[in-house]
Amino acid sequence: MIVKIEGNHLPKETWNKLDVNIAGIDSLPTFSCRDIDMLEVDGWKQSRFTPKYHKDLSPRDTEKIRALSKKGEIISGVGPDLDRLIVASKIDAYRFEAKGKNPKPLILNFDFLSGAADLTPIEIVVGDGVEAVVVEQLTAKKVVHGVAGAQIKFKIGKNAKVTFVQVQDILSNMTFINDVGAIQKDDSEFNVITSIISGGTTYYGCQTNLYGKRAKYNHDIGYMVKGNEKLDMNFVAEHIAKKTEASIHAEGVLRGNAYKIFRSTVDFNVGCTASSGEERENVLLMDDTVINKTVPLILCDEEDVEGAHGGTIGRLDDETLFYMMSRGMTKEEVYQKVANARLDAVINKIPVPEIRDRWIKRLHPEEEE
Amino acid sequence: MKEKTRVEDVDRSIYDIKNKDADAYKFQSGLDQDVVLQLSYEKNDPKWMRAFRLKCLEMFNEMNMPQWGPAIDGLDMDNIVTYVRPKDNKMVADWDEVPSEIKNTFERLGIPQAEREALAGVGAQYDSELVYHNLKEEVKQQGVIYSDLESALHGEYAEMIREHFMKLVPPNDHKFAALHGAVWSGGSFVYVPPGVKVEIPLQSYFRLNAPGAGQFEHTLIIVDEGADLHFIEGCSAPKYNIANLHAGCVELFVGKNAKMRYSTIENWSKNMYNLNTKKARVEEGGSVEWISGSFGSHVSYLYPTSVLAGRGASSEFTGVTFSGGGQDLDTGCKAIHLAPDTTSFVNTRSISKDGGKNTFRSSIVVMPQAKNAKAAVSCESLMLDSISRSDTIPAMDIRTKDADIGHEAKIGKISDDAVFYLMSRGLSEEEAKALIVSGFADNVSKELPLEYAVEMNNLIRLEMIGSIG
Repeated sequence: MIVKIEGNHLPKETWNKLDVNIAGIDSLPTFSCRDIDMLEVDGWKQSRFTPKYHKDLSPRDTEKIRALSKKGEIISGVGPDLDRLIVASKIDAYRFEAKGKNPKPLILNFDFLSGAADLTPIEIVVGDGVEAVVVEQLTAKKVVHGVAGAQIKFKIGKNAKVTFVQVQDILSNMTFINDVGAIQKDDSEFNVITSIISGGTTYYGCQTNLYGKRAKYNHDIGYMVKGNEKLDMNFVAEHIAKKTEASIHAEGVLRGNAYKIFRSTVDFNVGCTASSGEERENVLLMDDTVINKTVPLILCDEEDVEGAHGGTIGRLDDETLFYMMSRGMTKEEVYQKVANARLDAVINKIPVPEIRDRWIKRLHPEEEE
Repeated sequence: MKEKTRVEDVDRSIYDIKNKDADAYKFQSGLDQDVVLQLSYEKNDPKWMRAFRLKCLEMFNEMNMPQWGPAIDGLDMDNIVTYVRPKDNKMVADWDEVPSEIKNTFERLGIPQAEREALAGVGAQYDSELVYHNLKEEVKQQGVIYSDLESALHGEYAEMIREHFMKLVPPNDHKFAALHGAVWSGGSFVYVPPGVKVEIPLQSYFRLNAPGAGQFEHTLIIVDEGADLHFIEGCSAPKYNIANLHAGCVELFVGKNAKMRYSTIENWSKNMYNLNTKKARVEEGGSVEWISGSFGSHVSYLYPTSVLAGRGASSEFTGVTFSGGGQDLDTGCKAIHLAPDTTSFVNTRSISKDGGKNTFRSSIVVMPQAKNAKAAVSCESLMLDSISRSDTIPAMDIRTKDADIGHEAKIGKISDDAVFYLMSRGLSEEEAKALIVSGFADNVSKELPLEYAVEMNNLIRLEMIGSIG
């Protein structure tokens, strides 16, 4: 039985004292797979299969992982240890394959109960020229305990366009592994909108292989970490083919005793000429008891590329604060408004109206009254 | 097919002077307790220093090699000679008294000339020993102390040195700090009294001549309250086919409202493992500026660190790193904010070509008590071909809400838009690209005294043939 895995590995490590190179996820239970209702979903063919993993592949084997990416393998953000755990737990994965060019949105709802110990691997196949929306909502109706995880791997065909919406609202005391991986063929687009509203201790990872020419990956992340919550993130854009584009943009707020690590890597491999990658994070810190760690990497093996990162960490600028307080708000109200605005900006990008409205109401219950 | 614009490799011919070391005295290669005791005996160490060296050796043997940086498999301590003394070694204050072969080396490197024209004092180290040390009279009269560290261990500043030596860089910091503590030799001690401004810079120059040798000099500088000092460090070595090692240490204590500028032009040869440690502690209102040009070494681990311990303390790091074929240079800086109103700024550039590997690595840590801390990190990297590599790994650990932290980085080739803009102003494509590349390293050269800026620019010569693309 596996009781500990490592994940969210920084592709090029830094000083050990900073404690950002990798996450150790321990005290793992015996997992089972959640039942997903296999009722027919318009436009999606469903099946089950037994997943595989790479023996002897450690999450720290950056060169081996890169080599596998170049061969067209999907490596997820949390990393190969999670694959090993899934196989060891004898869990069969779900596969959803898009039928037709414009299937209805695939909505995956995970509602966690106390004592959860489930791990659900899913593969989503979107063929050539297909446009699809996939929504993953991870919720708990009250404070729950337990350890759970969901892994979604995407295979995105030529000229396909996938919009993947993730909303996580799991109340505290749960440990949750939220893992995403994708491989993109020529001219494909993978647009990810991730909102983390609440969630105990969350390990979030997303890695995309820009395997096909002119593939594009865009990831908007909004997060709020508060109380004693911990959010450990890892984003990797692996540029393999020519003219690929990646953009990772995170807006976040930390309150209380929140602990957050944001790792983001744009990795330009030899041959990805004329590619561009950028990463940006803006974090608002609202209390002195928070811990914020940010590690944005650019790794470059190719001359003809453009890589950039930037970001800000800290408080509101004095001008904005002054302006808003002069309109009658207290300092606390100003900070709360700005904090909500950061998540709103991401939620408002959700292309499914009923899903978007649901989460706007969640963030602004006062507007219901 | 158009030829690519070339940035000519760093010209090392003037640095590649090899003097026979047949007459020099040197230890057997390797490192054990006997070597450390023998070194301590040669140095006439006080008892505490002997015990300290032995303790450091223990730590070195127990600690692991770093796994996160460039490979240093080619460094075998069993093959490194930790102590080499030139024949007829004695430290003098007159260049005419320096043994001719050694003097000629420093003449060709321009050190005596620089001293005459632009410096307040010079310390010149050859292999493991200082061969020359001098301080201009007018600076002495200000009360400034500039001495070799070893004799200062026995003089009126002995207690001051004992209080400060390897307190900022403790031997348990990392494996090569422990090594340094065990086998350090040579280096300088500088003390600037309160309120004294040293108008022109002091310099130390380190020359490693013996093949397979290590240089482990220790520089300890104390700038007292309200004082002001600019210290320049230069280094070079001829190239051999076997590894040389540099594991020096620099400790800077910057007092209340004092200023310290520490400039380095590093041009070790391409067989050198440069595992150097530099750290400054800055008290209230004080400031430290690091100016760093890294052009040499086979492998470099170099991260000047500023501990901002007092209210309003500040640090600024300006650096350029040039990695050519056969080089894996891992450089950067750290700033640790421990007090309110502290500021740190980082501005670095790097150029990679001909298969060179370059890593910029930084760490900004802001602790909860560092209210109103500000930090900004900017890193730009220029890749000149697809066989080279350039990585940036900035890390930030922020633990207070009352901080303003910004960071940015860019990596890529020469901008087509910038070339177009300059061409629209009348420059040829070649002239435009030459201007852009030469200006890229300006962040460092403009901070140096003119003579050193010229030397630095001589290290990067541009050759424009055809056009890039």
